[in-house]
Amino acid sequence: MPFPVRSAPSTFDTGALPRHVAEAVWRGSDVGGAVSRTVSSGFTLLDSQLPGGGWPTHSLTELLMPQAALCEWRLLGPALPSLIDSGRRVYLIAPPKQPHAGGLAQLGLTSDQVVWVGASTPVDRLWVTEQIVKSDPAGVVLSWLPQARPEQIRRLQIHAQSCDAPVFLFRPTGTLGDASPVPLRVSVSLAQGWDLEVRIPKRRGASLDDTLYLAALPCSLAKVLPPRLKTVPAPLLAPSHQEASHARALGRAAPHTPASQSLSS
Amino acid sequence: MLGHWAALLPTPLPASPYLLKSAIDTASLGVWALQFTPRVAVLEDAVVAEMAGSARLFGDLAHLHTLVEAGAVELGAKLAWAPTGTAALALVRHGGSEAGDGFQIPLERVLDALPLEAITAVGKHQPTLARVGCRTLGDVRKLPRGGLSRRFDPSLLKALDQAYGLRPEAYEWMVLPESFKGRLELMSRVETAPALLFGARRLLVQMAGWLAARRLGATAFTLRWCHDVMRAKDAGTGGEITVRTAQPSQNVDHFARLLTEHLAQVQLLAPAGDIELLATEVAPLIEESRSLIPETLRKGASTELALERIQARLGSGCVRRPVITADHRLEWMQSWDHALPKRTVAHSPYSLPLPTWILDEPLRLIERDNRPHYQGPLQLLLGPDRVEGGWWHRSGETGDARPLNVQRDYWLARSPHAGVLWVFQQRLAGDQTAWFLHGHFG
Amino acid sequence: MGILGEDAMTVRPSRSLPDYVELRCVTNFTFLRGASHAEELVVRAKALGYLALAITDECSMAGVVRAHVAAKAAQLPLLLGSQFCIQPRNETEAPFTLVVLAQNLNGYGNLCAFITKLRRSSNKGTYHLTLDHISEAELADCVVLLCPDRQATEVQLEAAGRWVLGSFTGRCWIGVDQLRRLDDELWLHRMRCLSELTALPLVAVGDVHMHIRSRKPLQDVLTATRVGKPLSECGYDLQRSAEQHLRTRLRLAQTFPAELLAETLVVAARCSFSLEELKYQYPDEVVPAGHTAASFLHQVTYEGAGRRWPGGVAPAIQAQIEHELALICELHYEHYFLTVYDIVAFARSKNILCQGRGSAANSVVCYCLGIT
Repeated sequence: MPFPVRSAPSTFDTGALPRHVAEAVWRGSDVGGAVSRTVSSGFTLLDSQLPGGGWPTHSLTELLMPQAALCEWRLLGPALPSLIDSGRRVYLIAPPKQPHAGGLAQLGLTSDQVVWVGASTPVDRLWVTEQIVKSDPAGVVLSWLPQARPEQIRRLQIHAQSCDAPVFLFRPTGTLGDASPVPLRVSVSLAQGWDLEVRIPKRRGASLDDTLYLAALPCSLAKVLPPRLKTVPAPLLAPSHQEASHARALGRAAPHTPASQSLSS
Repeated sequence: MLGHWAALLPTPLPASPYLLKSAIDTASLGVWALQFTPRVAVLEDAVVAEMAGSARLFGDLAHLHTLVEAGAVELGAKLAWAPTGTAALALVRHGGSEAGDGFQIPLERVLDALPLEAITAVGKHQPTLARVGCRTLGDVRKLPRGGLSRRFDPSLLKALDQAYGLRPEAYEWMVLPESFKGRLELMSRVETAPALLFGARRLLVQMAGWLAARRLGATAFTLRWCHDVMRAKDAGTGGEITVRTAQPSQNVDHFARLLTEHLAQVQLLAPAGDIELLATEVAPLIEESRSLIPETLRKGASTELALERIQARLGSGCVRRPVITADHRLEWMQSWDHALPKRTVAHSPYSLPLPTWILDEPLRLIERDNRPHYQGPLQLLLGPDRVEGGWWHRSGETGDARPLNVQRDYWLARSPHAGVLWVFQQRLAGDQTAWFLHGHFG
Repeated sequence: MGILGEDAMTVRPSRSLPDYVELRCVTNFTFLRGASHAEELVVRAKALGYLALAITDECSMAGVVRAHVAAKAAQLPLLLGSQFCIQPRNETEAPFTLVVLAQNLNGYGNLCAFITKLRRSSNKGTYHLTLDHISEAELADCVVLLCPDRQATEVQLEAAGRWVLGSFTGRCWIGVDQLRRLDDELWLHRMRCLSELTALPLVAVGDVHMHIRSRKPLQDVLTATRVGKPLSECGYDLQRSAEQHLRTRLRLAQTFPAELLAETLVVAARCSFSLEELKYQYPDEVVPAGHTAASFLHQVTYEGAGRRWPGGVAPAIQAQIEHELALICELHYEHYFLTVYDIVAFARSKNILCQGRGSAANSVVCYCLGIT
């Protein structure tokens, strides 16, 4: 006796489900939702690719860079106004170079909002980060951990779960290959002009295969850049910028040839 | 006549982790109890305290009970509650675990069941009373009052009446000492400094009690230890360490953690047998109404403690706050200080851009083809920006002090590898110029 | 033709250094800001080959006399003027500096009157000026340079530009400084935009406070004195660099676009006033109708002589009177004597004590007029 022929399975349509069921269904191509409160990164393009639409709280975020002191503030600067208001502070743990308080003031951080904790050995850096994260500070924690093993980071991740402040770990890009328990890993490097090239190797939900280009001019430069330096081409963004140096071509600006200008008195 | 009494009886707890030789003495226990009420007295071998008036200060009686019980456990004392002091004392001596609270069951029923020794004045006459068939206090109470007062000394009837709440009790209340000094003999000689913590913790609890009673916070305390008599001659009689904290505090856990960090760095020259704790610096504690602390301050408090622990372990110089000065020279515009920031006048941010990272010393760069190099050739974007000044600034007072004058042309530069840089060009002797890297816009 | 003479506007080959006139410069008569004497500035400007120099002390003409004497000796054309800081009245305005240069004798007089009026209406040593208090008529025959502040917003810049254009049509420029700061290029761009918006031409200014760069330490000390703090505490009150000095034309050529430097000559060409033109001008009221100054002086002298010597004037005295009167007429001092006579007569009529001093004691005419 022939078996009954089954029709081919149809694609699953969540629209046909009752709403309370549809909300509980997660499809593999979705970006993960937020587990807890998120803070906007200040870059709309980046927010759209971060779970929950911003930097997470109650969790660690790994930011991988080819060098330290390269672009930390360019990336995090736009998020600072919503992270830091009265009583909240930025905790800098083992920064790679001396922070300049005047430069930080131009990002909006006043003197009583910045704490720099120095630690010279990897063990001390981890311990200090742990102590501060466990104390659930008000504000945001930035920690530079060039050397840390995955189990040490796992320990930090557990403590971070009860910490409402976002915690950012800056690590070298070389550690990308290590397994990491951190739920969000963002890799940043320099792109053309003022842009930063951002990839998200790990996040909740679907992985991101594309590269993002964020227009990340250092905040304080915006007020002094002449038009020829303001916008620069970026591969993925729609070219809606002016090309530089009309003025020089028409001979109106003073001749500036920086590369070959010899200094006189 | 009736109140809310607690009786605390020092007892050595079995298998105590604290390595105590002896139980806490009643005087110290009494001082500790003074944080809850001023009506504390030493009664025979125990401490009694009347706490009815303090209930509201601590929220409610249940909360007060919890605090006292927690402390009693730390200090090694048995605890009992009753409407009268004598009754509480009786319970703490002889009561079972359910009778530890003389409030749940009516007082008479509880007391009646206790043996005669529970009240000393009664227990004195135990042989006589036993012959009359009295085994418990209840039996004694049934005897005619007139006979009791004639037959035995008046203190028996008085004590009985006081226990049952028929007669008021009057005690000489303890006086809160002006300074705190606690002492403890350790059960076995301790060889390593961190092991001192076990005994020190009890002394910290006592100190916290004294601080609470005096409404002060400690900003420094000293732990002293005495070496064992059988020691090497050059080891000295003992040692001490002083632990400081920035804000006046009564927090035992915080003190204990700071002490742990400090003791970790101490080496005992010889085994120690006795320890002593003094409150060396105290300051008035501003008490906050707990419900009014905004969330950020409450969080801030525990982070402050974390920072203190970090400073205890890594040195006080490791936690730094910025200090901004008005100066056109980049390196003199700011500095980092360990002290908490004072309320300085808020400067409006500098009008020209400043890098977010500064090198401790400007780094001399190689120059090729009239261009500075740092991880490759640099592209000079914008400049020059001339900064000159500092001729009035000398590096020291002595004759060889250098003038810290600068005359620099700064440039904004970009490196494809190192990002946006802040470099300057400076004239050296003769016609030479040199390029330096001073900061990063990162 | 202007102060520069005929050659000024001929085209020079571009390889040589550009011609330049410094239009905004203070001497040490702008107390505790200017760090050089007028003479030093003049000599230095001449040595650098400037075609002319403007002296523009702040709300003052105090430096011009010494400058004039030095300029005459050095044969450097001199422009006279003053600069004023205009305060904002509301948020749509930002503070800016107005440099006013006298074109001719009338302009010079207007400028002096303006300064006097301004100083008299303020506390000593200060002045307060807003747009309400400036009218075109008051500063007729002057050219003005609008020198805006870098902190101003575009809206505020435009407002200031439009006001200057409306109030001083045809005789106004925007003065652009380039002080070796990181935002110089952007500032020049913003000024070009303002110029296009308001049709005001751009001109280069140095905002000079000292004649050479090495005068900066003194300028710092003056600043410290002005703010009343030790040098180490002055912070941003001190100037950031020593750029505000009379720069070499080579440096100027590297700093400013050529047309802004050339425009300084255009401005200077509009100004042709020299202090040499000044003479005393006495009030005419002291001479009644029907007389000339000489005849009226003659008359009152002899009337006075009649009072002094009722018995008749001796011939020797008469000869002396004639001698003095002839001298007075030759030197054209009649008005002066009549003015003093008028003052003295008024004083005596009010019983105010009056004394003639000095050489008046020896003058018969003064004796006759009652001055002594």
